[in-house]
Amino acid sequence: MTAPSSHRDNPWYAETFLAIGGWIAGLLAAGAIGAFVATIFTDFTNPRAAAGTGLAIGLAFVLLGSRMGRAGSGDFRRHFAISMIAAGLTAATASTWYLVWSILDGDGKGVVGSGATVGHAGLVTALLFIPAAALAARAVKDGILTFLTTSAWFWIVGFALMTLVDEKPWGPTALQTFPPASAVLGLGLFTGDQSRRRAAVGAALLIAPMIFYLTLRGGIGFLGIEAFQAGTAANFVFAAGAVYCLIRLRDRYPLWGLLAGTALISAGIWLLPDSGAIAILILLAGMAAGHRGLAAVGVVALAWFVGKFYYDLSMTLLQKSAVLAGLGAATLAGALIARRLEAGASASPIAMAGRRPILASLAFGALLLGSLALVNRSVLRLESDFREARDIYLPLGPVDPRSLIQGDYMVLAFRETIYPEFEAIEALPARGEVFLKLDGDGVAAFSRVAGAGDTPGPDEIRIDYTKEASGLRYCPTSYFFQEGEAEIFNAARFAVLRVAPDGKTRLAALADSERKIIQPQ
Amino acid sequence: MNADSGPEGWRGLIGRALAGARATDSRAAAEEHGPANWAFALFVFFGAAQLIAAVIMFFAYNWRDLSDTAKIALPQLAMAASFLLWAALPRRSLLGNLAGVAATVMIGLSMAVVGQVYQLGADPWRLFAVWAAFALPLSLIARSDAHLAVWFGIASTAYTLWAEEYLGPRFLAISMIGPASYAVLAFAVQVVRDFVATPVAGPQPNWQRWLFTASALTPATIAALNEAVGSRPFENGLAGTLSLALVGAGTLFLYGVARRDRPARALALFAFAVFVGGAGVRTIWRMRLDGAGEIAVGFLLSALWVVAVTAALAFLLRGRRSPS
Repeated sequence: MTAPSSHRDNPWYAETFLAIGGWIAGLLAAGAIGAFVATIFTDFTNPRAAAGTGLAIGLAFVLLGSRMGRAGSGDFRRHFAISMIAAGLTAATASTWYLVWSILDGDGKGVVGSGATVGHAGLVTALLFIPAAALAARAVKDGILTFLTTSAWFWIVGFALMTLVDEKPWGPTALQTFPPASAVLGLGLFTGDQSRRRAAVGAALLIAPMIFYLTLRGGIGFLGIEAFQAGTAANFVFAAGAVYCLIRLRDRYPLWGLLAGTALISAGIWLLPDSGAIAILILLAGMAAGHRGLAAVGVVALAWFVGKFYYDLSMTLLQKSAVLAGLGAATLAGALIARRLEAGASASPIAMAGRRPILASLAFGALLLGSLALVNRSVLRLESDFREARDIYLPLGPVDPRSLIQGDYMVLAFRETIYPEFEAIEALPARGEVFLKLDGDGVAAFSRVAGAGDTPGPDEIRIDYTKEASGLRYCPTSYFFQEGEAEIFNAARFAVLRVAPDGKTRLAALADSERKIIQPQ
Repeated sequence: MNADSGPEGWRGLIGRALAGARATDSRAAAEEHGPANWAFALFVFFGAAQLIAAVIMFFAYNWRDLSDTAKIALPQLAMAASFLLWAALPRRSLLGNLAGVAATVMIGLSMAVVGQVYQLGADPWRLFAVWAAFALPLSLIARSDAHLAVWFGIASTAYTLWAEEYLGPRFLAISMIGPASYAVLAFAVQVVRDFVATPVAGPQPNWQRWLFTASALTPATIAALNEAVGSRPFENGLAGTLSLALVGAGTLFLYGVARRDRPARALALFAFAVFVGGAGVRTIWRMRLDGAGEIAVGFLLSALWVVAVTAALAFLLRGRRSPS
């Protein structure tokens, strides 16, 4: 993500693609440095010497890359230089971090130190990283390199603060302060100055906190703080950043439209998770600077957060529905009203000229009616098919996820006793009927495959099946319930299946081990 | 739309033939749609997306206190209200378009609620397929590209669920058949919309071209890379690689030669670069690299290869002074 280039003819998306290549090549080259150091210090009896060698090689890479990047402008030379600097900085950072930690921790013979010294060493490393990265970026004058080095610096500080959070009293405050501070600084740099490298620094400082929050909660290996919250102060900072962007947009929109937008965006920042709030800020920064690339990053991130919000368990679906409905209605109304009042706007988006052709309205309505007919016909058929049905119990073992648009459900894994042997399933056609044997309580087990003209015995029931890759299926393998009732259905041991006389089935309920239907109160 | 305004010759002839009768110059379009306009479009997109997500979440809550009849009736009533709003508002009204999309969304929600009430199974591909079957003609009648994009999302979900359930298990020997076939179909949709439907539906908006192209190239690239970097390359077939070759080359031809669209062309080039870069690195690591020294050489060669691919990509991405 880089700002508009003044001397290169690449648009933002091309620079983004190239930055990905430079980053991957840099990591691979850093791996080469690490492996080379390992060839020299095979048994690691003197880790300080190994780290010192890694640091020396890393700095040499940075110097060579800087010279190479400054000397010419060919594509290979440019990307070779970026990758060398990225690799050198990575190796130098890892080595410096270790060296500083080993000095702080005493003898330097241990492999893992205390969280406090590791964190402090990380902060010192971040401090030392700045001049090296700044000199390289100044020499090469490249937006991609500036973006990558700034992002790397953010992550060094971020990881250092993560290790300090439980070690120092000020740790949690520092961790809560750093991402919003970075975002605000990034916002100022990106919107305040259109010089290519400053804008690249700004973009990196804006985007990195968004990913950092996700990483922090999701965790990377042993790192990660699931319960971390950005805090109210951070929300104020994000809201202030949004207001700043809206002020910069004042020439394009009327004042009261901007005030309404500010209220709306502040509400969004308050309600969405912290990463979502920064996504809003990124979008606004892109708009304020007239930079479609950053705005596109904001759009993609926000769309992702709204989608992720569905699976977030901090609010019920009902609460989320209310929040999104309010925000959505306000966003649309704000956009439409601002548009109407916008200076120079010639027409209201609501009152565009030209009626719809009557034929189009009729066709549209007919198709909707057709869809309703299909839905309601299936309802009527389901009701009539199972009027004379019999309930049987299928033994199961459950788990519970969330569907794409239908909410929470329990996956039903049925016991093997209700299916034929695997070889017998292989020989069956794709659709057909089997007979299940019922005990005195109505609990079913597989009996036999129904042949042509076969009738069920007195203790048997005919049931339709569909053959799938996983085996036979008698009924859906999911049971929907209202959000928040998963615990109640943990007691489920049987699926109650309603079987019509012709073998059609419908999942009716779940029952406990005593075959008592589970009814939420 | 990006008509080729270059010199006469075969490129120009093919370009004009493919550009369609109503293609317009994208520079003119870009001037017409300044920052204020795209900012407005973003807000409208988010407002609509939030409202649709709110409605989906409302029904996904699966209200136990509502009777089954009420549950089933609610989305149908919302559909009727949306339709009336759509029919009442002028043809180019933004709210009218949103109402049309809402009516289409309600079709899927109506079916989803019946599935909830009668326990018909979670995320069945048939629900999305039937929904898509209604959504396509509705989007054509509405003559709305936003509506068409909604259909594209529904149809993509239907195809993905169907491929997971049927295509994958039946073609176990071809590991990437699902994403590969989806990529080809998505590209076909893009070609039909941009080149066949233009005279009737008007020029395709840039955002939709990039969305459809990215939707086709992403699974093709992932599938091709997956096949190339396995323990034995292409052991489970070539479906992904062929789909990337078809979709990538098709995109390069259509938007690099026949008609100019720099972002679409860049997407295709990036997809090829990812494949070539990944396959090259995997080839290096397929050599027997024993010991730290050889591993260091492996890393170094890999880095050089990625730099070379990135440099080649930079060369190819460089502007050709074409409209974008």
